[in-house]
Amino acid sequence: MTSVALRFSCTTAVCEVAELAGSTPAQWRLVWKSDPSTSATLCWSTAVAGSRHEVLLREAGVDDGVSIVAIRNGKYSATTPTLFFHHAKLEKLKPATKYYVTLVSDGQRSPEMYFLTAPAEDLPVSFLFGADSRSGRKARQHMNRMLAGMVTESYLADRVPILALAHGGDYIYDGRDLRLWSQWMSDHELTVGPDGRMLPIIPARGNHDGGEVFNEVFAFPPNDKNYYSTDLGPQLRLVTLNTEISVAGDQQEWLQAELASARPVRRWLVAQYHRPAFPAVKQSWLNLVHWVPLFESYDLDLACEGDGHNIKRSVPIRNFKVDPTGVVYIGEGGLGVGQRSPKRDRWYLTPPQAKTGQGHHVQLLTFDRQQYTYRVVMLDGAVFDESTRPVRETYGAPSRN
Amino acid sequence: MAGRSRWQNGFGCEAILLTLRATVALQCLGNWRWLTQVQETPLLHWMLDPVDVGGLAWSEPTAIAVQQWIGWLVLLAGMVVLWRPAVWVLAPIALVQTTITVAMWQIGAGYAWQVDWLPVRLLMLFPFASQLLRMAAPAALLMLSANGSSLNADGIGVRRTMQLLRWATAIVFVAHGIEAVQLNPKFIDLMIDSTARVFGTRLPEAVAGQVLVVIGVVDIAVALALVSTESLLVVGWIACWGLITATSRIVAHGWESSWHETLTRAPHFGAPLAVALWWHLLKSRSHTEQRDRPTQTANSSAENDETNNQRPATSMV
Repeated sequence: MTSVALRFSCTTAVCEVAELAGSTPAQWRLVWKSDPSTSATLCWSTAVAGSRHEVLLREAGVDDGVSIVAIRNGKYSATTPTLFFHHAKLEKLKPATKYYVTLVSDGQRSPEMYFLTAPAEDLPVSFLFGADSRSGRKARQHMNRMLAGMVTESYLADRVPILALAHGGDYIYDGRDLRLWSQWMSDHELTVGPDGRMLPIIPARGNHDGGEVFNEVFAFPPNDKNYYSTDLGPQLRLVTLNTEISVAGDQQEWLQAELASARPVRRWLVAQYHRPAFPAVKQSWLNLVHWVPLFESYDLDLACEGDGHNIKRSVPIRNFKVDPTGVVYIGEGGLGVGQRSPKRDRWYLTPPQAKTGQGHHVQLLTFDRQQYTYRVVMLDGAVFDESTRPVRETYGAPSRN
Repeated sequence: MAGRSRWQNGFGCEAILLTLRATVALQCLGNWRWLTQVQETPLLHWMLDPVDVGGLAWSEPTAIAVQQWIGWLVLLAGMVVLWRPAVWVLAPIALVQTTITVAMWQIGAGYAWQVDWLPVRLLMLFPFASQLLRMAAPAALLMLSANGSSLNADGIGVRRTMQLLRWATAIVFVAHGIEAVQLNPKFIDLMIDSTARVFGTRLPEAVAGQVLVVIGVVDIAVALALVSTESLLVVGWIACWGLITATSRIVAHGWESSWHETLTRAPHFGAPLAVALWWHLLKSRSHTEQRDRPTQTANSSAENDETNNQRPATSMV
């Protein structure tokens, strides 16, 4: 592990990231999809196609590891630069367990890193929500280093562990441009802590992320629609939606079925997607018509939105009115992108029940048995906004639908 | 000339001019609302975005103020066009429309065209195809206005202008056909929402997708027909379809939120309508001339006969 610690130490203003050369693994991402307590996908890039790509997986405290061969390898769907992706699916993992991983391509190894699977027990958990890292690369790198630090601190005693980063989309400004993706993937390495702890990512697609490369970066099947659910523990379900495909068609039907099945058995129900239904700057997207009624009908606890480039926490909304039983909309994106001025005169952004602002930030969401806590952490570590909401009274009651 | 109707003798050209003036005025009204009320436009985002991603890195207050000014000037220009189209108003309108398209290009806005084997830099030029009619409509009116007060439907100036509109219409239809064939999700939702509003029934996404592919293929086919034939049926279809697709925004999403989206697309039906009027004018003139020709031929034959009859007489004299 000494080499790992040296590998990630920041000795200058810019942390070192792995160089893309030959078959040396670089640009690693740990992606979480449906059941992160037992599965995860490791993705990485190489500059040449190579012939054998695998992950050496070892459970902490166990001497013997296993080799897991990448299930999908290929050239990214872009003309330049020429890069190759590799996806290895880690399955049958144990919940709340530490795993060490080393990526190996044709004998070339990455540093040894580790991650923790999501718990299977009903424990307090946190995750980060952020969006819009498509410009402002220095701020993005700075933010990634801060995220790594936040995750490390969250595992100290008496803290609630941060399990993952839910990214609400707009990673780069043109999803068809692999050069930009390559920069983003290299920058994402900076979310790995100094001790080699990986920060899993739960990706949503943004309006700047068009094209097939997105599916290759985050290990979705080709032509995947990118909407899915993730269980961050047995009582918290995160529904990731895609505003860049039809919001009125199959996705709406899936969302209804998903919320209907999850609401009775999950204490916390959260959604993330890119274009806002209740924006602080821009105009409402079509999800206002097609998703919001479902959010309200099934008592969604929190909707995480991006795209607006500001900080937003709305009033609780039901039927286009302030309602204590309504849905709160947060987010709007500040993982690097320049910030806009929120329109505080919009009825759902009126203080003191709502709060808006500007600045690079990430939302830290913590869930326990009694309440969830929402915090906005700025790039300097300061907390800009903090609020709590108790568990819904309807939780555990018979479904109204 | 004596056999020509009022339509053929000048009213036809006036109708073409009036169509384009109304088209550009509606377009300006839609743009005014987009730029000043809705505000979130590719132009604004281009001005706000940092330089490293193709933007101008202006401050938000400056960018919004500039866009507001442009929006109000566009509205003023649109009103002037209705009253008296002139180069000094039409050139700025065309310039604004071109600038919006450049902004879309620079920030990668609009439909993200997918072709793996083409470089991104080339794909990013797609807005110049999809937005072409919005630039071409004021440019065409400018070209006609530059010709002066009298317009000759057969003249080279009108011919060039109408060819511009004809080709621009075809290119826009090909671009939208590509979007349809690639199942642009906005089009899918437009179909689902329009069907729900008009017929009160839910259109499954799979069906919407199949219909959209057919629409895309038809769009591309009629675009090719437009540039390879001079069929009034084809250009009439295109004008009607342009009107239907433009108004579908209001049908699907309601008047209040979407009327400007319909108006900014006025060139999608106004331009092919102008081409249809022009072709109709030329064909009706040609028909009249063909109809009059046998009479003229008969008259000239009779005159010749008379002359011939007289000649001997003259010669006899």
